[in-house]
Amino acid sequence: MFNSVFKAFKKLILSKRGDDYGEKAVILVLVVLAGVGAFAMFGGKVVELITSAASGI
Amino acid sequence: MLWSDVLIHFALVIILTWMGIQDRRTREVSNVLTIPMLAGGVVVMTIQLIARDPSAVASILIIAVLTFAALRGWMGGADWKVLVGLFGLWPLAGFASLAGAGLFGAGAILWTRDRHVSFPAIYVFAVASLLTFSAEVSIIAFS
Repeated sequence: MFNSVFKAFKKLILSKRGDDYGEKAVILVLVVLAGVGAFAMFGGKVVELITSAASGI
Repeated sequence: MLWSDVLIHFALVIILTWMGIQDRRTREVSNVLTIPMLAGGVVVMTIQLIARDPSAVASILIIAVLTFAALRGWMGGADWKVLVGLFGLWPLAGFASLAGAGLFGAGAILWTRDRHVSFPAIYVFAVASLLTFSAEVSIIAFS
């Protein structure tokens, strides 16, 4: 599991491909906009959780 | 905004333009340009996270979505590296690039009537970043 994730990341980092796809670019923007909207509503709690986790590390 | 920020953003626009030209010509971008940008973005984001900056948390959540999409082959590796670098170094341009790619993608679908049409995304990121930079400079100049 860890090995396959590591290989996928290595492949992604070394990839030079600069293509994006129309449909997927549109979906990504919509997902990110929905995420930003959700973050604007519930962001305080998320920030609190992540920063407490980061300070724990 | 400080003038040092403007200079950094100007440097980023130049690098992005260089990468955009490469992407438009060959549909590939050199790792010599993209990997340092990725590393710079990750370092800056880590520093911001340690400093408990809420905007860094928002950027990290967006990067998690982008990484998931890139691992599933929704975008090229160079696109992912540039976007992660931008969200770390200049989040506003990161948002503008992502939105620009979405708009360009929607336009390309309508133009070609092909949902799977591919386009040189880093070229679009460069244009979006240049527009963001122009807006920043005009705000500074007229304020």
